[in-house]
Amino acid sequence: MDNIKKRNLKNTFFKIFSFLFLIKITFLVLILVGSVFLSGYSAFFKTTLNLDEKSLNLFSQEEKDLLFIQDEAGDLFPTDELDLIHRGTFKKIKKDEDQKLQDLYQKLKELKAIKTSFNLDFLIHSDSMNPYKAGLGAAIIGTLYILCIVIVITVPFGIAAGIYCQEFLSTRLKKWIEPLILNMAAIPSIIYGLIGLVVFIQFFHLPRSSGLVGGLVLSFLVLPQMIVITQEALKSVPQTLKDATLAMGATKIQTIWQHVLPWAMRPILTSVVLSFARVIGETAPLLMIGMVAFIASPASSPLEPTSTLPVQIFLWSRNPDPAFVEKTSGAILILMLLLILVNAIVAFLRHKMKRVQ
Amino acid sequence: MRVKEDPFIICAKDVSVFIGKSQLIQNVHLSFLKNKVTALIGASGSGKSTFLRCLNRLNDDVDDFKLEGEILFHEKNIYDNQTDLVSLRTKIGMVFQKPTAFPKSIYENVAYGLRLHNLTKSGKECDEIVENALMRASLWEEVKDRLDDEAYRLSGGQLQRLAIARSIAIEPEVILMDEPCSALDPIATARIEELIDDLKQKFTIILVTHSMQQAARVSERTAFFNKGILIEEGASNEFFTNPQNELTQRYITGRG
Repeated sequence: MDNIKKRNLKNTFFKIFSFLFLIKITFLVLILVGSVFLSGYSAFFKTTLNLDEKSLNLFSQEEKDLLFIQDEAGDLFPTDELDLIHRGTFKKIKKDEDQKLQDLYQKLKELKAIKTSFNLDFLIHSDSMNPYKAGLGAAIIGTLYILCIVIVITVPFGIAAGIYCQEFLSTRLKKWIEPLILNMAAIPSIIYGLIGLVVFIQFFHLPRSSGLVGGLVLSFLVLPQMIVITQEALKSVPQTLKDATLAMGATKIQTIWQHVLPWAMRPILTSVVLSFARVIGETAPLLMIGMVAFIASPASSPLEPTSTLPVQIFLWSRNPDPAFVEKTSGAILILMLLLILVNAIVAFLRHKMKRVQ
Repeated sequence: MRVKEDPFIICAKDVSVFIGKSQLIQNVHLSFLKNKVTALIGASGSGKSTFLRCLNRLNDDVDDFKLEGEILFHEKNIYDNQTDLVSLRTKIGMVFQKPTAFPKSIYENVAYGLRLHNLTKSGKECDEIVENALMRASLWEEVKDRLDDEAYRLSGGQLQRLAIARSIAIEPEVILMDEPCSALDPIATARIEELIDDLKQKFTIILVTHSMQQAARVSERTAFFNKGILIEEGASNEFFTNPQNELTQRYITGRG
């Protein structure tokens, strides 16, 4: 009897331990997302000025210099300091100058010349030295280029290679090739960047830091895992279904196309979309192929230098200007939003394709 | 009508089967009469299912599979290099142990072979063939109002009859049945046995079974396999009442 109690106790211990661990993970994720959100949400808003000639003349030149910047086109922009005060990121007032700025800000407010609006520029503009103008446009375009190239390369080739390995390869060859692919899936991503640097840039002379090279490198990165997962999915197809189809006189390709693939489609699709998630978030191999350049305008073709979201985050996070802190967090939010979107697609597809047992 | 001088539709001549280094079937000589039911009995692992799967070359994909000897179907060796697997399998259909429905509607399951081999042009013709096949599989009455339902909702016995309807829809000459009743309850089994009795008017049936009673009830001829060797073959009534070989005698009386 003692023995049974002991065994049940172990059961309970395990449950409690695992549950606590789950709570811990959830807590950590919440803290992470929360802190990024708190420091990043302000990046989606900007300060806009609405001043006519008359009210502009109420300010002295010195005050104007403190508050506004005039660009080449003659448009007025708030300075970083005014921007930060208005959007509440600049809380502590220490110096006299800050106090002066605060007073001027109040004056502007009374004139109803300053207001907050949604910062669409953050999503459209490209990188800039001026944090007021810097945006994710080029990075988003670059990520989309890379994603398209990866889709075109990995989806047909990954699934085809997986089918070939599982359904056509003889056991003897499979014994050699399977561990090879598995090991390829485990190679650190920066090594793939190195291979990309040597093969695509030095040997084939493809343009440096272009979307094409990035897409090719990331395709090679996710191809092995796609092959492995496709193979695993095909293994789950019951032999009885294959036999029954073959016995009806279907050829092997017909069997695969009509019954095996539809059966395994759910896990395959999941793997496909999860590889997209990996592609969206991958940074290291891109740094290796020189994708750390300052990109001031979106690439108009995959052959032009481009930036991607995670690389842009990396670049901004190293920028000493404090105004870039919120930009960095904002970019992380966009990246997370994209990943949540991808995961939602997975969930939707899994729900749609309830497997017929 | 073609004149058939040979009453045998399939002849296995000196067939040995190897998978890797192990020999699963040894020098089997066995012929199957046209429009008769032949039962293959034997203990698990005796090679009877392997032998059955050789008859429509379903073992081809098994790794290191090797067959020696020849299997003649209408006097042509099916293990010839020229044999077209697709046409062979349309003439030799198969029903499996586990009732398997394709993830389609009941109608599409039966029409699968027709669509696969482009046997029908018009939808009406197809409807007729499907109805006919379901009737002959004595499933029509149960499913005629729900032909568009997903097939996997049918019960095990119904699924097995659906599988039979699917095979006979493309008019094969031979139907191989690999323990078709072993996953079914006694009532469903009885229905399938009745069905086999009907079907032999038109088709040659080769039945692998674990049940001696079933073999005695439905088959004209019975063959007994033991450890890959064909021990005895003969007319069923004689086979069960007066077995020649001691091994057969021990097996059918249940003494191993």
